[in-house]
Amino acid sequence: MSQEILLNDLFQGLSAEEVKRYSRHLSLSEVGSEGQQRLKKSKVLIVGAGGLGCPVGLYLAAAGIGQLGIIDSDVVEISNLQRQIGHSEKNLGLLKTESLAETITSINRLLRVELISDKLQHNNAPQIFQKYDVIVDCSDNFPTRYLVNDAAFFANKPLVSASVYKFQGHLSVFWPKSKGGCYRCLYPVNLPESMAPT
Amino acid sequence: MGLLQSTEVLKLILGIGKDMIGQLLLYDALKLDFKKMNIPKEKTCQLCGVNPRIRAWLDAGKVPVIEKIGFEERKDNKDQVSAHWLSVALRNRRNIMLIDVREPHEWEICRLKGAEHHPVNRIKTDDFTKDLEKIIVFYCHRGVRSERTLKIFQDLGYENCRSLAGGIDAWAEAIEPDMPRY
Ligand SMILES: [Zn+2]
Repeated sequence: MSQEILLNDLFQGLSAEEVKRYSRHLSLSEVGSEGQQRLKKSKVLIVGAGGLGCPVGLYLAAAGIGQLGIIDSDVVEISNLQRQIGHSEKNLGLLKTESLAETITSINRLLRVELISDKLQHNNAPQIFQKYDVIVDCSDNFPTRYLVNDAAFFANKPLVSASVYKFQGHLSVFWPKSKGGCYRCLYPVNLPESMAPT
Repeated sequence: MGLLQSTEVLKLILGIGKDMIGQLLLYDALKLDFKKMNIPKEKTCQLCGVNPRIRAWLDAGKVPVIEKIGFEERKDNKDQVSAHWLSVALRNRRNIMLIDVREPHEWEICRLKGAEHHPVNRIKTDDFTKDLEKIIVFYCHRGVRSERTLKIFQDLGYENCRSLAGGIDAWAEAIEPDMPRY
């Protein structure tokens, strides 16, 4: 009893269950109670629930991020299961957002999820991005990568971007308003003439 | 990659460790090799550069159609040459001008011997000869940017130019297995 009161004092803002669940984090001086509460207050947006989005969702859910947004408009197919570890046979044919949400909330039911089962587009990106603290690009095509890059730039959110091609992987963090370049600095394209400033 | 990505997310939120903002990590699973490099802000960047063309959300996210076309679908194109053709032609000292249209950080990783470096956004077409005796071969990482450059040159009347199908990556795979890939 007295021990429990002591714990509550030390870990204000975390429930007794959370103190137990995240005890390995809490014992790290770099995380601690303050860090864990910061994770709990954070909202992270995952663009794509495939080969990258699945492990990202699993790890972030387990670590205690407060809210995860997941964007994907595809359904689970059997050829996905070889690498997209957040989906399972019983969810074949289900939307990937729903399938991944089911898996990650079974790891951590304290997690809030927002599922966006539409394609990320011009008309929905700004509203979605401004609600989140960090954007994670797990998409698998160029147009989406440019869109995510631009939306993160205008919303001034850090973008953690990764891609895989055969046996090669790339990882970058873009936050050009803080320092360094953006995805377009790395992979410039000539924009169509119709976009020339008038 | 997903694990590394999640770790960077947690570090950003917690504000701990060395951040990766403005850096690129390259991982080669077969060679178990990690490389890290800086991504400088490019003055010419159309989003975050000094004179951006994308100034408002309305312009954002746009990307030319050609970026969506992989070289596999364009294999039959007669303006494309294979890595094998190029290696034979170079060995036979055909009059070939090799132009690398990739960005500086890519040029640092690997390049073809004898190539000149002209990043795609800064290439000046007047610098090149229309001499029909000389074949200009453009290459990039996987063949998309060089294909685009080729089209621009062809439109300007350069008849004797080609693009390396599959880019330097195809070259590394077929001809020069020791070349660093990314
Ligand atoms: Zn940029």
